[in-house]
Amino acid sequence: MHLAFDEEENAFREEIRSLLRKELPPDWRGFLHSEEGFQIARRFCRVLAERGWLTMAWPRAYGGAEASLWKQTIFREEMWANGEPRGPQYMSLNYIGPAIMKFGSEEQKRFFLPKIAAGEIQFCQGFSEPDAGTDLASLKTRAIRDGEEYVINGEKIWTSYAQHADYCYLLARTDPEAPKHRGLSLFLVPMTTPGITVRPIRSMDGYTDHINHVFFDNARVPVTARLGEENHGWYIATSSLNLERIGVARWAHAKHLLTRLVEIIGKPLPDGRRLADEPWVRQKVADLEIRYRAARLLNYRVIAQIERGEEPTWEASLARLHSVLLDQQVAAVALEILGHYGLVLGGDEANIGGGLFEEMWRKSIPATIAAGTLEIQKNLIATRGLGLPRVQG
Amino acid sequence: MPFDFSLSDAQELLAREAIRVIDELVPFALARQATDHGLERTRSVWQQLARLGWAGLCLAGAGAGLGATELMLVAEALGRRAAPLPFIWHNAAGRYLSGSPVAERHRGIVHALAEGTAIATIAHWEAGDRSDLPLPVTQAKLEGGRVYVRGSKRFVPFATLADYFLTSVAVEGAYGLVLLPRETVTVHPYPSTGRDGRATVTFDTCLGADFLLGTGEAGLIQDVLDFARVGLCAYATGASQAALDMTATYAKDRVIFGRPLGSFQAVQHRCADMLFDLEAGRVLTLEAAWQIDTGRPAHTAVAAACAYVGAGAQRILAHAHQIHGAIGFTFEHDLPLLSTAVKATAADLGREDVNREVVAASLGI
Repeated sequence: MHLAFDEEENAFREEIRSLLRKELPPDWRGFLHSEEGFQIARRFCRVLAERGWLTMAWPRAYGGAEASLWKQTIFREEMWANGEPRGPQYMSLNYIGPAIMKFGSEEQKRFFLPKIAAGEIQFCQGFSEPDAGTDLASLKTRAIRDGEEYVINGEKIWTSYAQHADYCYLLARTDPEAPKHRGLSLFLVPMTTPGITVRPIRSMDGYTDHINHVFFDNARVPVTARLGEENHGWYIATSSLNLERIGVARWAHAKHLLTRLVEIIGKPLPDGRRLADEPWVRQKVADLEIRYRAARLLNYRVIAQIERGEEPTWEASLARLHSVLLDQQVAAVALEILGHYGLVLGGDEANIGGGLFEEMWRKSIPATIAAGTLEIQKNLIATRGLGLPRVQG
Repeated sequence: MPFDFSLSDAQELLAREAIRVIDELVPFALARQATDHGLERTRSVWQQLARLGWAGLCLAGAGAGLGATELMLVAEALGRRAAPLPFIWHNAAGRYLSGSPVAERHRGIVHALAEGTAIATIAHWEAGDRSDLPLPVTQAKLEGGRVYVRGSKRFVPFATLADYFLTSVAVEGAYGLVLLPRETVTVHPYPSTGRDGRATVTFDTCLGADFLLGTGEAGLIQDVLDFARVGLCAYATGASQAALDMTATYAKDRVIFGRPLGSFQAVQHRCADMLFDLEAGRVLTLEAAWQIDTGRPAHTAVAAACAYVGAGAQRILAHAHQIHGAIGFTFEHDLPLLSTAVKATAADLGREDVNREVVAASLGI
């Protein structure tokens, strides 16, 4: 048993932190869903690419550095702690790129992988539909073979980054007769394809273009845009999910916010009172810290399993559940502690924390919805972790 | 590997052996009997475990000299059967005695403790049931090569069985630990939730100065209690694991409205919540044990584990009762043995707010 990072790993973390301080704007709070945000993300990805850090997790054959899982973990922690300045690039790095490596044609590998590795292209993910969210496999968007092309018709929704992305990692139905999981295929669709329309949906995190409705109206893509075999899309889409569950280091983001909160409550309010002197505040903050310690260790335990060549299932869901709930709790508890002060969004001298926690509270709401709802994760834990029978009806 | 949660081969073996032996030697019946008959009948089981080396597991010298991780492994296995055995307190007390500067002077006692022919416990709490660490009211005075000890300790676990009481005292404004042999104390037993031989222990006695085992800062006593508390966290984790296993089995077997109870989402989610708390408590306990065993400052990690496990184990048992329904409320069922064991252990882990305060202070606020 060993439960600590060593000197070298801590030094690597410091190196990342100093790069972040150097490259990001001083008032940086996290990725912005805007033209400016995407510009920053693209620039930052290129800086990472020059350092060889962008694809540190990848095999050398594809321009990666084959960094250890722990180095990758440290890197992901620092990215998420600092509001994921890579923007949507984490998807390409964590699972879209690896899926191309595993299932892509030589031509697809040659085309996409160097561009991802250089930080030149961004993907959005076309999975959810108006009538297919949690029950994703029931999705209806059709891709019908027509000679050497597929004709895509349908709509995707809640698609983050769609306005600015270059490609869509699209799951569509290629065989409507097959059982629902077996009639799906994956496509790498250029967002410039005629017939694709992106309509932004204003969201409660203040953005007008964070989430989008994407329409496919006779959008034609060549057969070579299909990733892997026809009707194997479900397998490809889900095969990298375990890494994805721990690939998003939300526990580190939560700790980052908690550290900010501790700084703020340690300073006097305008009336001279220090929130950190109030026992109930100390209790709440300590509870978050304890939950953070548990979430981090549980995620590390999954990483250690992967490193040993095991395939975690419920363990990954359980670790993720701890992380997402913690991320929500930190923001909510911070607002509870700060009261009205936390809700001032600017312009007032009592602007403690600059509305940070209010913003993070809004942003944390989808944490238990996106990429597998809390309820689905719990079902998975109960069935795979405890052997309970599948939920019926 | 910076984070490696796997046990060493020897630890794996101990963990497996502990579960096997305890399954065989410590049936739930032992805890059930203790409800009505006290702990006298547990002596023979304790003797059998002592022969396996577990009475001396963490004792230096005559014992195996193992650490908090090994304590944790055996304690977890005991928790699975709500075992009313003095293993944790005995080893924590014996470990301190056997590692103290005057251990040589007490070789006979250490030997008897390691062999299991004598039982040790810890007498710490006083009237306030406080789990922070004020200077004990109980005073020890050194005079002419003798130590005079007078006072009263409450809620002393396994006091009805113990031959030696490692007792926290104040010595001239410092913290101290004295070893009180049974014949120097009066034990006032009372029945309690945990069936673990609790008593108020009073004493007004004079012993050789070498029975004052050590003096120092609060950390002197804190370290002993923290070592015991890692074992207690593991014990509560074992009891929680057993309750979850029992509950999952029941949810699979019990049919309601023509389908298994466990196929209802409301039931699944309670079970998932149980595993959620169980595994969080488990890794926090592991971290605390590892920090103790590697000589790191472990108090914050122990407090974090105690805060989580104390509350988490009680949540787990509450879910277990709800899912079992009326059958889990019967005396014949094993679940009440686990829930009462957890309730008692949670009190030993200390009040949640006190443990949280330790964690808050570690953040520099």
